[in-house]
Amino acid sequence: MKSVISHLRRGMKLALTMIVVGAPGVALAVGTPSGTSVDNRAQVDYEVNAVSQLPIESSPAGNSTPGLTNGADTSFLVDNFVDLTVIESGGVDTDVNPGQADAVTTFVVTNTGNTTQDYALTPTNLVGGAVFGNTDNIQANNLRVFVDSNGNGTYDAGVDTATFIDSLLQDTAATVFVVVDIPIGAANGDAANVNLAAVTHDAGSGASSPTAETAGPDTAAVDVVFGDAGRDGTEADDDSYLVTAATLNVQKTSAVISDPFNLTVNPKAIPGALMEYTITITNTGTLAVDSVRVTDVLDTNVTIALGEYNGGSDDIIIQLGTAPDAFCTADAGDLDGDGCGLTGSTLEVDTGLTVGIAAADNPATIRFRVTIN
Amino acid sequence: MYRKILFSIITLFGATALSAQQGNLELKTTAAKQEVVVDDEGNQTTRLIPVNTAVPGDEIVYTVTFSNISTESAENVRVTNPIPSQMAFIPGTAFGPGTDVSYSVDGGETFGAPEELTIADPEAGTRIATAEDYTHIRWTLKTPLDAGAQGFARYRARLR
Repeated sequence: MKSVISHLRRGMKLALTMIVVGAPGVALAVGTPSGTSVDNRAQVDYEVNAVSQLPIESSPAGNSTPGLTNGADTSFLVDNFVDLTVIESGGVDTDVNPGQADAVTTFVVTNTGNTTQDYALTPTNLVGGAVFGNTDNIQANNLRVFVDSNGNGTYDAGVDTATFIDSLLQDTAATVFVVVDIPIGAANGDAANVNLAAVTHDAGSGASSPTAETAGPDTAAVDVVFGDAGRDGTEADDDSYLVTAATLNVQKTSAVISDPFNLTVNPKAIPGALMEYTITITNTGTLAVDSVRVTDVLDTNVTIALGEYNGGSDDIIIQLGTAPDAFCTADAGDLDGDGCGLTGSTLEVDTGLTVGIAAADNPATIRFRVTIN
Repeated sequence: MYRKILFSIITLFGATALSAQQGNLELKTTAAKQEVVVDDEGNQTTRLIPVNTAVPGDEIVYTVTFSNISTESAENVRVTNPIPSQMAFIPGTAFGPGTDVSYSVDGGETFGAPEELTIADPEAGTRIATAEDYTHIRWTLKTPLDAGAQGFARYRARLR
């Protein structure tokens, strides 16, 4: 990773290419910390005329003074080898709802170099392209980035407030959250893909002083050598917010129960006939929908028929999936507070219905009866 | 002229002066990176560039040069080099013309051939030492180092 220098062989005007054998950057679990002086001193023991002599230590330039401590170390310094990884955590997209605030994706930034570093963090909206198979077609709002301050791996609003990584020791990792708001207009299957970039900065600089690679040849001081992919001290990864909006399908059907002439045998929809309306609400999305409220404005040609169900005591049947029938009354203004009521000609069913996606609670069926005027 | 005079003085008083002030041998250690230069014709030349700084993973070539600067022959010459703790010895790279190479795994107390060296293992009892376990390398000259003669010992290690 050192700068490649062109050399000329003496007497030959040929440009030569230099290859460094044993290229650095070999992945090591733990790199010797930068600034470390690697010292080496050899020793020779010998005899003269069968008499042991004092050992002699080596020095960089050559030493012949006998005795330990009379030599000197041959040393070199360990450079600042800058390397890092940014990896999306979990390997899956994050499910979100339209209008969801503070939707979180998680990344892990690891200092794989040999020096304590700061990292500046930049979240960006990706435009187009696919992450985890989700093609980006909407943009998240209010992108923010926070560092996990307590190491619990979960974004804690108001607790995880740092927006850069401060002094990350070598071979340690920090969890980073990208926090966004999802547009209210997002539809089921929409994807907002985001990218988190971490840029290496000098430790203790408040991520304000970018770490720069030492230009030119090897110097006697500690050099900065970028060993990351792209050799720019910057790494990034992508994540995806997948919108899983609930999608409801509402169907209304009617059937004639009886008429004044044919009674229940082949009844016809004639004045005085009793009709049953069935409203079927099917959840075709991937999320349960709660607080479903159904209103139906009755035609002026019909009048609600009361006491048709549950032994004459209730007016409306609510059935959720395979669950047993539930009943309520269509009393004026919902004075009994059961969630069902009639206001003028508007029938309202607001019982806190939750329509899930499992067969046990999907679809929801609401039935009531009317007479034709 | 001055050099000749100086040389004469050393020669005259050499035997006693050397044993008191100066040893018979001079020892020098260099650390370098090995580089291969390829010219336009594809010929490769290896050269050693003294190293100022290195990054983890770099290979360093250590060379110990020994010279007999006295007028007497030195016998049983043994050059010992402790491998820096930050360096991992690369197996098979220790050599020196006219020497036997042995290794230590106990901080230089004892030396032996690779197959003779064992490490106490809590589980397996003992195991054969690997290059990573070596703490010192020793080159033992097979013959005396004559006056004025010199030689070298060399090995490669990787910065951890």
